[in-house]
Amino acid sequence: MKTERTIKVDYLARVEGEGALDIVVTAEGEVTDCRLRIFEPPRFFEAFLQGKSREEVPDVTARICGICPVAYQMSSAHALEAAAGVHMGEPIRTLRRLLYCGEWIESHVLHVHMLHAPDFLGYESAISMAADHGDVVKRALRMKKAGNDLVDIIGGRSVHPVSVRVGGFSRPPRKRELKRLLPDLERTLDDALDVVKFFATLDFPDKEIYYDFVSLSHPDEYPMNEGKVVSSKGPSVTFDEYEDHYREEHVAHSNALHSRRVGGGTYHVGPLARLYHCMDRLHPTALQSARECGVPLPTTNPFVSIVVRAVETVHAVAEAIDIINGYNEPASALQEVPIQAGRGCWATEAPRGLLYHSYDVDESGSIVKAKIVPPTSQNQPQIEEDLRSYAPELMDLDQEDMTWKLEQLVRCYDPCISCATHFLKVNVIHPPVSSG
Amino acid sequence: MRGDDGLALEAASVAASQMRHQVQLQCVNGNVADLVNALSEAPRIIVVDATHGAGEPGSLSRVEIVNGVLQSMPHDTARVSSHGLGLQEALGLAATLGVAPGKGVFIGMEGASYELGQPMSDAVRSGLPALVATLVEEAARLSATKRRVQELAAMGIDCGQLQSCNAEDLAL
Repeated sequence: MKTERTIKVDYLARVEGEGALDIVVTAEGEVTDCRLRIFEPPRFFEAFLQGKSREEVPDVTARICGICPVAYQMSSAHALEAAAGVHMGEPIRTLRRLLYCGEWIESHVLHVHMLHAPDFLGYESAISMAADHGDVVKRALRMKKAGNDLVDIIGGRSVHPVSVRVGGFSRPPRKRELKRLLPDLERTLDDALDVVKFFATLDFPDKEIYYDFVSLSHPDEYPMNEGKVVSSKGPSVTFDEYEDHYREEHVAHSNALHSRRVGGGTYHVGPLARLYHCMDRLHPTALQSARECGVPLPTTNPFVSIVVRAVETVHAVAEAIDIINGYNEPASALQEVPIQAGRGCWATEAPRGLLYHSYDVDESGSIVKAKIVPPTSQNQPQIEEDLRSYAPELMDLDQEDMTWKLEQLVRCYDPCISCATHFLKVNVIHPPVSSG
Repeated sequence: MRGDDGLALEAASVAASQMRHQVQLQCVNGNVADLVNALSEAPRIIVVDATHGAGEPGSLSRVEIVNGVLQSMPHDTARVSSHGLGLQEALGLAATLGVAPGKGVFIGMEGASYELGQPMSDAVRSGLPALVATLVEEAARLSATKRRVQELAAMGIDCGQLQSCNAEDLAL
């Protein structure tokens, strides 16, 4: 006989940041409580930016996340350039894609191997997995380093890059510096293709979800820095229209804001959404890898995200190699951006999904208002929806296996709680003072 | 930018410039993969980081690392560093893969505040010279051990892994 089940995970393992999970399912399979609780303290970045010079913003926002600082730099720089009515041309455009390739490699390799693979291979952690799959982990460390080196050369350092500026880069990379990376990148491409094959053979839970996939889409390239915001259930919108269609709200159980469609619907951002909308724009090597891996792609199965991240890693490495091979070192990679009052909105594709920034700038170039909507804030309501849908299907499992499966589902999103808690609007409510 | 979070980088940069021995200085993010890559690049290592919950602000912690294992902890938690994914996990993974440093030391300084936009605290600022001096002393100690190993090797005494050390083998 089935009985009520309470799943309580006080500290979610293998996610970036600190969160917990509470689910209650009745014997009849009704989910009466489902909360992905994010209790990592908020960090008030948006308030901190007010009054800062716009030139400081890329460096400050890079500190929101140690895993995806480039994404914050890209969204902020583009939004501030938009506020001045300037659009970046070459070589800045291509160099920004190259820098993003490095971050995608770093982030995807870290998540696929260290955080998500243990779920599928039956280990508690990457450490225990390494004892049996040492070559897989060593390959991942090698690949991660190739991504780090790319970010290091273009960004000035691999941790919180320093060369990104509003208007481009403080210094373009030397051609010889980039050429030196090619042997490692060529090896990383071979490794990445092997990774797709390896993870495509995993046994995936059978779980298809009819998502509202939201991502950038560009007619000529796999989305990173430019395009429109497209949806599988709604209209395509420009960056300036984004806040008319997607809105953040506070929920009592989370230190992170939840973003929903205006009207209340949840949506899904990240690799699955990008591949759903833009698979035909993958690099040919990645597209071939996706088609031949043996797993039907694109997919609406969240558990297959580990394969999609592997395919996107192939894309990032292959595109990086192409860019470096065609690179002509410019004298400068910095474009003039006039200081003027204005409002700029932009989104780019962080490894975990769409990252939206908007800024109001005054006539002296100072920030009047900032808004940052990270991928995890957008995915959090969808994660809870997924858990509500999946938990009743697991009632025949014992407590440990059911908990494991639900945690695994959360990790499919590669949630970055550190990013999601960058801001919390605090309302202090004082009870009325009794007069008597 | 975040209070005392940058104390390690500041101290290590100053210390590296004062060391007589060639030392490779690496700034590493808190994620486990980058830590393992850094740990695997030298058989001797000094790790310096801000700590949280390991004493009064400005106080120093010192823990030996032998064959990839932290030998003791300054307090009853596995996480000494202020980073979410700790040194302990990275050392464990490096040891499992057979790439852990043979010998090293963790030096931590307790921070007072990690708040965004706050300057370094007075307690940490005034403690930095002591931290720098400690790092320089530790580098000298590890190098002296290396010289002793070389002396022993010259006498035909096998010291295993440490025998392969050279001037570039110490990372900070």
